[in-house]
Amino acid sequence: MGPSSDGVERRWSPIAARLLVVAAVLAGWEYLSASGSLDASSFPSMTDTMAELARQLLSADLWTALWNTVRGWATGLAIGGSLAVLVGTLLGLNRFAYLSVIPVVEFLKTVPVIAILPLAIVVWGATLQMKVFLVAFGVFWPLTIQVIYGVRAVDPVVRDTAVVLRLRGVRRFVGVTLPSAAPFIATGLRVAAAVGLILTIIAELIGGAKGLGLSILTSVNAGPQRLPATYALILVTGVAGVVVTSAFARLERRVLHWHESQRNLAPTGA
Amino acid sequence: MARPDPSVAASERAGDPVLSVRTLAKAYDAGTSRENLAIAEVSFDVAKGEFVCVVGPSGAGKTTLLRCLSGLLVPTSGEVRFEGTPLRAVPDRLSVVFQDYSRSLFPWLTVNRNVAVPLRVAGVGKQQREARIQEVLHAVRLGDVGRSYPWQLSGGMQQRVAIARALAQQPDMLLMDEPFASVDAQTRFDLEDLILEVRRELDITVVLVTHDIDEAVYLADRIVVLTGAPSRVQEIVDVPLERPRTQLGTRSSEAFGRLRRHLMELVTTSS
Ligand SMILES: Nc1ncnc2c1ncn2[C@@H]1O[C@H](COP(=O)(O)OP(=O)(O)O)[C@@H](O)[C@H]1O
Ligand SMILES: [Mg+2]
Repeated sequence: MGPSSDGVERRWSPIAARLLVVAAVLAGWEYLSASGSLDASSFPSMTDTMAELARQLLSADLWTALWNTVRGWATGLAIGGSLAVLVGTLLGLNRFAYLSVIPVVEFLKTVPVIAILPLAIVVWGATLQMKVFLVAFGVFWPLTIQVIYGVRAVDPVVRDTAVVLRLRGVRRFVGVTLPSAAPFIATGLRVAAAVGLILTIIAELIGGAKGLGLSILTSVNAGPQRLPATYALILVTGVAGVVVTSAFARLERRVLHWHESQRNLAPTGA
Repeated sequence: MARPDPSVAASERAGDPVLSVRTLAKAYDAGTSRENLAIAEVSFDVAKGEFVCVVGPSGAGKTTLLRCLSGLLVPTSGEVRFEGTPLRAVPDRLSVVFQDYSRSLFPWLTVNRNVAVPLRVAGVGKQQREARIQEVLHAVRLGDVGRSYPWQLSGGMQQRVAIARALAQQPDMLLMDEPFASVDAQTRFDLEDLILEVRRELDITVVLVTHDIDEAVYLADRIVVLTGAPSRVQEIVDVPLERPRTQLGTRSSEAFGRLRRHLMELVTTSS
C-alpha cells in the first residue's frame, strides 16, 4: 500500500488490517479444531467458544464478575497510585529522605507481590479488601520509584528558570515539578494499570475473591463440558487487559501531547 | 592580575553602579578532592542603562559568573551588589535569559501562558495580564503566536518568547547567557538588533555573556574580557561606537575593525 494523503484512509487501513489478522487467527483456530489437530478435550472449537461467549455476554453472571474485577482493580490502583504520588513526591523533594529510604524501596520493589498473597488471604479472606490491598501494594512500589525519579528529573535549566520567575511553593510544584515528572509518572501508571489487572485476576484465582478469575476457576472445576466457558472468560480477561492498556496509552498521549515523545503522534489542537 | 582599567571614566559618568562585582571567586565542590576553581577573581561595575558584554572562551566560567550575578549561585568569596544591596537571592528587578530556549521555555505551556507566568506570580489580574502579554510579544516583534506551543516555533522565535517573558517581569536589568549562540547567522543579526531596540525603548541595563567577539563589539558599551578558566578579568574595553548601530554600517566601520582586532589579540594571547 502506497502512502496516502487521505487522512481517513490512513486511519482506517491499519484497523482494517488488524481486523483481518484477528479474523484469520479465528479461522485458523476453527480449521485446526475441525481437522482434529487440536485435542477437543482440552481445546474447544472457535465456534463453540464464541457461542458460549455470546451466551455469557447475555447473562448477568459475566457482568457481575467483570464489575467485581474492575472494582477491585480500580480501587487498588487509585489507593496505591495516590499513595505512590504522595510518598514519591515527598521522597523526591527531600534529598536526605531520598538517600535514607531508597534502598528499602528498591528492596521492597523486588519482593514478588504473590509472596504476600497468603498473608493477605489470612488477614482478609476472599474479600474485596484482600484484592484491593494486593493491587495497591503491587502498584505502590514501582510507581513510587517512578515518581521519585520523575520529581528529581527536573531539568537544571528549568529549575533556574523557576527561581528567576519566582515560582515558589505550591505554584512551583504544580506548574513545574509535576509537569516535569509527568512523563515518568505516566509510564509508571500505564505499567501499574496492567500489573494491577494481573494481580486482581490472581487474587481471584488463588484467593477466591469474586470476579473474572474466580469465574474461570469455577468453570474449570465444572468439568470438560464447561471448557468453552473457560476459554470465553479467558478471552474476556484478555480484552479487558487490552482495553486498560490502550486507555492508559491514549490518556498519556492526551495529557502529554506537549512532550517530545508524543509530539508527532497526536494532533495538538493548537 | 588585571591590567590597569582603561574604562574608569566610562563607569564613573553614570553615578552609582546598578551592579557591582568585587573580587568574586567561585569554586565548585569546594573542600573536596574534586574542587574545581571556575572563577579566580572577577571585579567590574555596570552603570545604569549600560550594555556590558562579557567575553571569554568556552569553559571560561561565563555561565558560572552569570549565575553568581543573578543570585542563582552563591560565590565562594567576593561580593555582588545589585542596586546597592548585597545579593542574597534573585532580586525582583532582575531577569535572566538562558542560552537554551528549548529548555527554559516550559514546553507544556503555550506561548501566552509562558509569558503569563511572571505576571501570575506578581498577581496581575486577568485583563491587565492579557494586555501585558500583547505588549511584550509586540516588543519582541512577535505576531500571532500566542496560542502556539514554543516547540512549534523556530529557534529565533523561541528566543524572542524567552525575551518577552523576561520583559514581562519589568526588570531594571537583564542578564543574558549566550542568548543567540544556538540560532543561524541571519536570525542572530535580527536578534542582536532586537535586543538593542528593546533596551533603547525600555531603558534597561543589560549584561550579556558571549564567546563571540564580533557580537560583543556590536552590542556593547563596554566589554569585560575574561581569561580562560579559572577566569580573571584580562581587560575592560570601552566601545565608543556611535548608536544606533546597524549590522552593515557598524561592522564595516574602521573603528569596529580596530576594536575587533584588539580583542582578538587579547583572546589569542591569553592562555
Ligand atoms: N554544576 C557544576 N559543577 C561542577 N563544575 C561545574 C559546574 N558547572 C560548571 N562547572 C565547571 O566550571 C567551569 C566553567 O563552566 P561554565 O561556567 O559553564 O563555562 P562557560 O559558560 O564559559 O562555557 C568548567 O570547567 C565546568 O566544567
Ligand atoms: Mg556557558
